Amino acid sequence: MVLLNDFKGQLAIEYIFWLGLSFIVILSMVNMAMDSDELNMAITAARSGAIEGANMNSFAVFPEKSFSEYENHKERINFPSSIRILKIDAINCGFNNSYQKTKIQLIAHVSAPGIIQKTYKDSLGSRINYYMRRSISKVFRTENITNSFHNPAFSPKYVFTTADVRWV
Amino acid sequence: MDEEGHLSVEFIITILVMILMGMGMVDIVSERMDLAYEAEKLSEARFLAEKVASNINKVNSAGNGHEIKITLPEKVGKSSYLLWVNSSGVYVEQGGRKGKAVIYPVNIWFNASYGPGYRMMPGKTYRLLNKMNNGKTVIYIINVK
Repeated sequence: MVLLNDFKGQLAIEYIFWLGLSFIVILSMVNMAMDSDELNMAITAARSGAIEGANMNSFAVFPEKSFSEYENHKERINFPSSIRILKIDAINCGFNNSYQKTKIQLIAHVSAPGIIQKTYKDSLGSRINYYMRRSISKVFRTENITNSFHNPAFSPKYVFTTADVRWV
Repeated sequence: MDEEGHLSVEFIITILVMILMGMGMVDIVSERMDLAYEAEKLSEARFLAEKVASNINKVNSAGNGHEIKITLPEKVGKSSYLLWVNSSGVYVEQGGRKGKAVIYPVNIWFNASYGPGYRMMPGKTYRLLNKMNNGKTVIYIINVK
């Protein structure tokens, strides 16, 4: 059967309603979704940074200044050891008026059975925290608005600080 | 007469959403690739230092007259590096970072055509020779031409 004069199409009114409703719902959810996306990106970046810091500690290959300090005072750190990042918690500390952003505190849970002394753990933990913050600054390209320790690290809507590493 | 094609609106919207998600992930993926690359450099630097230290320890333990030949790689983790030895350990330096592999305390004597001091050059072959000198064990590191 050949259709003649088939020049006009039709769209069901239910389809138009559904499309319009979806559009309104999506618009209202966009803000929430973007905030979640930003926080997810930041935590993923923090995890990458923590792994980078842990790798450096595990392989015991450090920046020259740190290496000299460890060789003179904390030689045990210059030996390779097993260091694992178990998890990273993000705690919402509420809106910070100084930065006009929501403050998030990151806490890394780390396992290092071969490291016993507290001073050594402090050095290794500081490195992990530094690389977490640096990774966030790099991902959001905010290195220029923070200090050389990337403390705190910034994203468009959040400001990130780190607490002392929890050793498990 | 198949001159007109159709593309559904849902398909276009889905493609658009996937492109937006992909753009958001580019930074994270790039970060992870950098992480993998850095880990490779660190592990290879550590491995090289441990390998040289292990060979020095083997020669030391094996006794007078024993010898091992080692060849250093041209690059480590696709980057250049520095490596040097003293009586307490083997030091590797790459990309502004340093690592150390310890050796059993022993006197090291270094003779090479390339100086200075106790530095071992990438790509060169060295003989590690255990020899007694005035009753003390000395490990000679000799550049093989």
